[in-house]
Amino acid sequence: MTATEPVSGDEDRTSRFLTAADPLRGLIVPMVLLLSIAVVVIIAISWFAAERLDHETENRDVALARTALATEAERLGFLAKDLSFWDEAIERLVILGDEEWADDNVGSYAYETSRVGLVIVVTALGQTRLLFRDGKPYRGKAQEFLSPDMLEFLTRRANAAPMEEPEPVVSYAVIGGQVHTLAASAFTPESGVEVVTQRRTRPILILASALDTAFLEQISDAFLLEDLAVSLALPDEARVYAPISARDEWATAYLTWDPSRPGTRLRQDLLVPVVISLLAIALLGLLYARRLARARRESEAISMALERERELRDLKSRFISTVSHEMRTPLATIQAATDLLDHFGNRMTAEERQKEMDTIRGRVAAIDDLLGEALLLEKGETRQSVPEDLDLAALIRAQWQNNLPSEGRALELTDERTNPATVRFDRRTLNQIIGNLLQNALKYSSAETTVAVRLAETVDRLVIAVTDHGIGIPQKDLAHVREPFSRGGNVADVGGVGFGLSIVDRAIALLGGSFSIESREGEGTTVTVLLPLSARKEPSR
Amino acid sequence: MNVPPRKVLVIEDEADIRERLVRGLGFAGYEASGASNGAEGIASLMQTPVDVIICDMMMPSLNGFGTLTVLSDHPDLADIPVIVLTALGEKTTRDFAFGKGVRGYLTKPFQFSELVETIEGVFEGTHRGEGDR
Repeated sequence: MTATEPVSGDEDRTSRFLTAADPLRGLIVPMVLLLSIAVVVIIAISWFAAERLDHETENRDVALARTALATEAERLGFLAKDLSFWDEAIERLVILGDEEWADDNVGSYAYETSRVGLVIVVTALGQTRLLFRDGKPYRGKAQEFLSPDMLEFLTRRANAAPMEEPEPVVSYAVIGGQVHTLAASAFTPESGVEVVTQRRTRPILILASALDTAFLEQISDAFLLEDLAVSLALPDEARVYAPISARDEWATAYLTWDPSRPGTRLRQDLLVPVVISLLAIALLGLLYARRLARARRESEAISMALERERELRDLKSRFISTVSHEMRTPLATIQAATDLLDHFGNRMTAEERQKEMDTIRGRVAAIDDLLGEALLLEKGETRQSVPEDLDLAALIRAQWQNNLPSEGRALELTDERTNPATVRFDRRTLNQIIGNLLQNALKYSSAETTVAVRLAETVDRLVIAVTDHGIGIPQKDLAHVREPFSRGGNVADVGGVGFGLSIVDRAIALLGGSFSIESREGEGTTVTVLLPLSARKEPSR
Repeated sequence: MNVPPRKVLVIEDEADIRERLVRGLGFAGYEASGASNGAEGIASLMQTPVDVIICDMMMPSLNGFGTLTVLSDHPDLADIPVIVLTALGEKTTRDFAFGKGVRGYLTKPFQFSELVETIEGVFEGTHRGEGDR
């Protein structure tokens, strides 16, 4: 009971110590972990968001480019609908031959202000009657600029519009290597210069405006599209493009520009901080891991120290309780013997009285031995070693008969030594070894079995082997037999302190020898002691 | 007064103590016999019933705890008064013993006169549960 109280006290102290060091660590670690996870999640989200931003920006830019193209087409169509102007132009030029007026007015109206590079009028009969090129009258044919297919297409579609509401047709064509927006409108000149023979076939006005540098600059500024260009072939993947085509037609060309990719720029801008923060998180994690490991090591060291202290105290307390308990038996014997003498001495023979006195002396000696052994183990006390010549066989027999509960037990002593002369050892030390081994052999075997002692010799060693046919020592306990208080798990209620083999161990060490144990649970035990014959070790102090 | 001597069985593994108790109780006028463990003691009781049992606790083979349990459960033996004589002074052992109905509890070392007093107390029916030193 006394041993358990300080144990729980130590545990309290241990846990209090750890709790005192804990609150910061307990809070910071999850917070840092949480923050790190948050940072990583935010980075991942921004990473994907950046990609999405690029994609969205591209879509928006394509929509803007299409709007720019549609606006241009609409503008040209609007010019083509201004038929009153074109009526006058045709009249002036064709009828009056007023080229000067045409230069002044068509040049400024169509070319300079409206960027219309080509003005073509095709008669109802399909002949080119009026041509301006870059604001100046040009005497040529429409076929120089437009393919017959395109001319046919524009004429047919423009004629399809109602007479009262001319609806311009918009298309695109490559003229002189450059892509142009075309707007065609059917009209009926008021002056009737041209004979209109059929209702559905009218003269057609065609305006063409090049998607030239000026146009590209204009929409580049308006829509923030970089490095705009017109490409006749499908551009490579590095560039964004919008197809240039009239509705329901294949693309004539492509309006291309550099992708702005704000997401990619964002990623590039973020890269350094992201790498730094990830490194910081990793570093922080590493630092905390190290700190935790150190804290754990420290607390383990503390609990190990406490554990050692506890074991020591436990050992001492066990020592006191087992020794005192083990002393009660000889004390009880002494008490019983004295009581016998005291109360019934007069009814005993002199021989019987002497036997009681001898018993008392014997038990007193046993208690003294027990205390001596306890002190030897507890403090490592040793006496001065006094080597003397000893008759080993006689010493063993004397021990067996006088100092051990050997009544009714058989001792089988075999001496295999070629030269069984006397040996020279400290008597008390040798007695401790033999006494304890025989005591164990007797204690842990049943009355009907024999105890065998074999004496032998090697070149320089004395061999003493003690064999019993008793309960044996369990395999798992064999490793601990030399420790004080260690007893086999199968000793049941056989009395004992667990000193025997640790005393033997110490005594043998004192004589410079060694011993080994062979044991099989339920079959018996053999302890073999080897003692040096030549070099007799003196105690070190 | 030709009263037959009271019979006492001493169950004790330490021969030194057992023999002296048997002899001392013999001198004191009892008819005492010994057994070196619980199993031996119970076997002996089946043959020869006694008037009082003196029982050790720490013994090989069947120990005092087992012996007291067997005795208290046995219809023929449950009525025989038991006095415990042990080196174990702990409360748990004492509580166990009294739980099994023992009539006296002596701890080693003990005085012979104490033991005789306890035995006599048991016979007089006054010495119940205070065999303490």
